[in-house]
Order: sequence, then C-alpha cells, then structure tokens
Amino acid sequence: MNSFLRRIDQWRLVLDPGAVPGMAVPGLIFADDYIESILKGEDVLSQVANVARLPGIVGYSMAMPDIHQGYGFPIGGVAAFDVSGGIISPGGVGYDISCGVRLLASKIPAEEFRPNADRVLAALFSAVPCGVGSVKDSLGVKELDRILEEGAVRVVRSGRGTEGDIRRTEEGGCLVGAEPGAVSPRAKERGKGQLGTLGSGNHFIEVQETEELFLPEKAASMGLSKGCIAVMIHCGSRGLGHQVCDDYLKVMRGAMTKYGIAVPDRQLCCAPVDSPEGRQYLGAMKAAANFAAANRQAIAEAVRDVFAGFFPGEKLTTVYDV
Amino acid sequence: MAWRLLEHTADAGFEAEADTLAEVFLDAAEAFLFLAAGLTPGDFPGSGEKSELFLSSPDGEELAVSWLNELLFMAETRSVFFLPVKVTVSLSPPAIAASGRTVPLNGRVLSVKAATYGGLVLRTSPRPFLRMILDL
Repeated sequence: MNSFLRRIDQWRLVLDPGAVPGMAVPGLIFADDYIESILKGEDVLSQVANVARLPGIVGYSMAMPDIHQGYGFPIGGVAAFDVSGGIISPGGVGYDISCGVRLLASKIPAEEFRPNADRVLAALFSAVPCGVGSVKDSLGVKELDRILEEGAVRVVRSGRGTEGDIRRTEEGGCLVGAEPGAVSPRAKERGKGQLGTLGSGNHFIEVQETEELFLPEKAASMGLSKGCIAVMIHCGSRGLGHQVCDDYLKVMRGAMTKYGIAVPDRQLCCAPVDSPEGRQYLGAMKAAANFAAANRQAIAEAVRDVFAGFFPGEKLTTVYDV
Repeated sequence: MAWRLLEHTADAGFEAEADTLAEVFLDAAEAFLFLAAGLTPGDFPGSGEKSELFLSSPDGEELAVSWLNELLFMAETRSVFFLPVKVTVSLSPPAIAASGRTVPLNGRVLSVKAATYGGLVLRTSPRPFLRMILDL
C-alpha cells in the first residue's frame, strides 16, 4: 500500500490507483510529514482505497487532515458521486447523521462568568442530559414526525428560539425532502425522548472565552466580543441517527445484489442514488439531519435558560450552526 | 472473564474467546456492559426482573452486532440493562435466544453509541472467537 503513496507537495499525498484492485480514481490525502508518519501504521489507507472503488465516484477519494480509521469510510473522508450512475452509502454519511456544532455569542465578560462557573456548569448538566440513553420529555408520534420534517424551524415556531437562529443555521435548519415515513419505528423509539440531549462520545457543551479577534469588524457582525464568553454546542442526531444508519446498512446490503454492486467491506454497503433504496435512504437521512438541527436548537434554548438565571437580560445569539 | 480490551484510536473494542459460541456471546454482553458503563454483572447482585430475548439475522456477524445493539436499544429506550444468564446461539440459521434479568440503570451514563462492523471477526474454529469495535 505504501509504495503507491507519493507526496505531491508539502501538504498533499496521492494514493495511486493500483493500491488495491478496482480503484476508479486516486486517493488524495491532505497530510504533512507528521500526519503521513502516523498513517503508515494504520489500515486507514486501505479505507481511502476502498472508497475509490465505489461506483460513480468523481475526482478523488479524499481525506482531510483529521484522517483516521473509521467504519468502512475513513474518518475525515470526503467523496463525491455522480447522481447519474453513482451510489449513496449510509456508511459514508456516518452513524451520527449531521453531527455538528453551534456557537452562541454573548456580551458577558469572562471575568463576570468565572466566579459563577461552577454553578453555571452544574445547571448546564442538569438542563441538558448527557450520556447515551439520556432522555428528556418524550415526544408524541405526530410531533416527532414534524420535527423530522421541519427540523429546527419546528422548535423555533414552537416558541423555543428566534428567527435569527434559523437565518444562521445551515439550510435554514431544515433539509427539504425529509421523509419521516422512511425512518423506522425503532429509530423513532430511540429518538422520541432525546430531543434536547447531548449524548456521549466527543459531544460537548463548552463555555469559551474570546481571547483574540483577528477580524474585529467581521467578529462584531457575528456578535463576538473580545474578553466575552461564547458557548459551543457539539452534537448530532443521537440514537435516532445511529438507528437510521444501522437500518439502511441492512437495506443496502440486501440491495447490492440486485444492482450488481460488490464492496470489500460491508460498511461500504450502498445503492444507486436514483434507486428506490437510495431515495428512501436520502429521505430518512434528511429527516435525521433535521432531528440533529432541532436537537441543537433545543439545547441552545436550554443553555439560554440557564444563563438567564445567572445573567438576567444578557442574550446568547447564534453565530452559526452547521 | 474471557474477554480483553483492545486499543483503538478513537473508540473501544474487545476480543472474546471461549469453548462455545454461546459463551462468547455471554462474554460479549459482559464486555459491552463494562465498556458502556464501567460495570460488571456483579454490580447487580440478585436484582432485576426475569427477561428473555430472541434475535435472528442473515449471518453470524450481523447477529453479533445486533445482539449488542439490542442491549443498547433496551438501555436507551427503557433505561435497563439486560444481563444474560443463559444463551443459545445457532449459526444455521443465525439466531440467539437468551434468558436473564433486566436491571435498572438508575441514571447511569452509557458511553457506547453502537456496536459496529468495523474490524469485526467472528469465527467458530479452532475456538469460538469474536472481535468487535464499539463506537463511543
């Protein structure tokens, strides 16, 4: 594998076709010498090569500098597929569909926050349950379907948030074309009590201080002020998204024979984008992405409630959510 | 304990090896409980309700993944952990029947998001063996 890897400049490596049989395009890895030294002991290059074998891949099987071994696809992997004749793979989208971040800016000076830090953090832990299986109030079937269809918009229109939140959320907080009916009852069972919960793993709520502004005017337009605190929220579609991925890995596995697709790793299971299975997965995936956006909106509101108790009158405005 | 932890860049894994496939699946449940919550069955002496579980899958690998994901599903949706006591595993057709007890998690935080197919190895000879990576 390593003999097919060559450096083209200080920041990029190319994995030539031939590294594994059937690569339709080269691999392109954004890595300096240090990252390259880490890669050579890992199976992750095989994952980059395996993605390059998938039908309809365009350009390169790419990997960003955070590359490390994932599930079928490498973490940090990026691949584009031709909608005409190309495939869609739940493994490529990943288990935590639309895992993302939201940044909330404030005018609360960090020095005013610090004496309250312990109490604020305790209140945040109480207001936003964390850990796998953490739950809040359970949603009814109809309300969950509306969340899956409308995303963060549904939360805001229910009185939890502002139109500004929506304007500063990717895709306006709602992916058009979501199909709640394509999400399994099992996934909905997992998700119905998880709106407004953080989950586990690398998900977090972090209270940060803006120490330096490199572009003060642009920072001001985003509501960021030097010396003030900001809150970063990182989470996604929780158990609902995981279940969507798990469900459709099984669907795609069954569909591959039908479409004459063979993959070297079952986590690369896929179907043509423009097939009944592909379209159904897209509808479910968009619904899970909407759940993730709604989840971050609900968490943002819980965070605002906590801060309102300690810093009355101070607002936490959304810088961006993606 | 007939399982051991595996090192992983970002997640966690285990290997289990035993005389029978049923024991391997029992060990897998124990490893899962430890990795998800830092607990062992001994942390729940004599408590819980009797419970049974039956699963079938197209193949053995999917059965192993589904087994642990079912335990996670119960934990997420019912806030209980299923502690299997007796397990019967067949690979033709692939199915598992388990009896045991469910114990309340009492607000304990789980850190496992899913059992995965990444690096998955299930073999029946020379000795039954399972290697699995869990998404944290």
